[in-house]
Amino acid sequence: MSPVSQVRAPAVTAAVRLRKSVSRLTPDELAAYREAVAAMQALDDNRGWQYYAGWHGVPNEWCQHGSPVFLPWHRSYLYHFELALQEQVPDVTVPWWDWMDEAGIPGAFEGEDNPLAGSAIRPLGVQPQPDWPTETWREPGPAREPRPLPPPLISRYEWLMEPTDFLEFTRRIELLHNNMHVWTGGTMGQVPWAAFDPIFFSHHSMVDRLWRIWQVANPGALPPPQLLDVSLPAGKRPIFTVREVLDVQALGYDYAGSTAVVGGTL
Amino acid sequence: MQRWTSEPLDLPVPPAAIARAHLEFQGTRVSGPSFVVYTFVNADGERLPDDADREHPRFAGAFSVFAYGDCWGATGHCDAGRGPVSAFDRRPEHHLTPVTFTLDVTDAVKRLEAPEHVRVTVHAARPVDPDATDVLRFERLALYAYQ
Repeated sequence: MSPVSQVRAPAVTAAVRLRKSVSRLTPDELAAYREAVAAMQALDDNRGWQYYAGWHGVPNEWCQHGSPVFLPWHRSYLYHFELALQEQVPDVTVPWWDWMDEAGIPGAFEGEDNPLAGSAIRPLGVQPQPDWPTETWREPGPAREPRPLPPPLISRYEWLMEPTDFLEFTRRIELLHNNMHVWTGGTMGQVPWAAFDPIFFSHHSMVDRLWRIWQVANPGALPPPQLLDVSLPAGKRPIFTVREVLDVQALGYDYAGSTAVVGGTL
Repeated sequence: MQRWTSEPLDLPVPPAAIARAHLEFQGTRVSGPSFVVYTFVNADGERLPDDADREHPRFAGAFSVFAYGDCWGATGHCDAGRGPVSAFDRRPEHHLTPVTFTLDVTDAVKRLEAPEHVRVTVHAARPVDPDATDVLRFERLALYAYQ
């Protein structure tokens, strides 16, 4: 036998799933996403809404803010959350809220009897306290100065994409991310409760999409070497390292419009 | 709304030679409700109206702080002073560890005509409590300028 090992292509290749703008979903796609969210909201075990919201906020507080792993941690988080959605409705993906191009809160997240409009807050494994919120709410667009920039934030796009350094890009995108949390207000404006609101995941799908676009434009711009093997806290395996979340296609998804791939001759 | 004006900050390089300038709000506290900060340079903070906005000629930049709100845990849960409990403690920092916010103020500083120093005026407000005056809590303000 040759001492040289061979690397084999996987026996099965799978197409990556595409995340799309929530405002460009077809009626059937939006209905499927709502069905998946509603199904998770009805589960009070470790497949359900309260469980995953608790990774970011109450009770686990694994989220990373003001940290160089802000982007990798939230990418890992969405990976796990999206698989939980797909356990309920196959093939759904987390649509992005395009606050670069759209004003206000997309209509998909509003209205009566809409699981995307809000959620109960019943953190798993802890005794609720009297001053905790029991459901999500939003108060978008404070009236008085000083106030966050209202969407669309397209005027900040060029500034955002200007850096070629990962840490500077991280600093800038986290500022825009903060702006949108504070602009949305209500429970979205409070770290411990933000992820209980369904719009949270589409907000972070947008943040992750912008990182993906920046990565395509800066293919050699990796996080600093000392970050690459930092692990990203999660409630379920795989516990990724930063290095393992750099390639979205290896995680099974991409963003509509960010790449175009066709089959080869094989 | 909180109003605050800094002591004068020396410009580390001659104004005419500045290629980039940024402010650092070091040791910013992230407990309590989220808030928004506007900064103005050499704006005569006493006379700056409360509703001064991003169009004000001395506006230098803004940032929002996505904060943790009221403490949801038991006594001590939000004590950011809890440090490592042993030399082997490699856990991440406490979630309320103070953060540095950096703001690019190049354009605003370059618009100043030969300033000997820069005074920064801050307007900070919480959307959920616009009248609060203890909003932005930080340890140091630093001005960096590069040729």
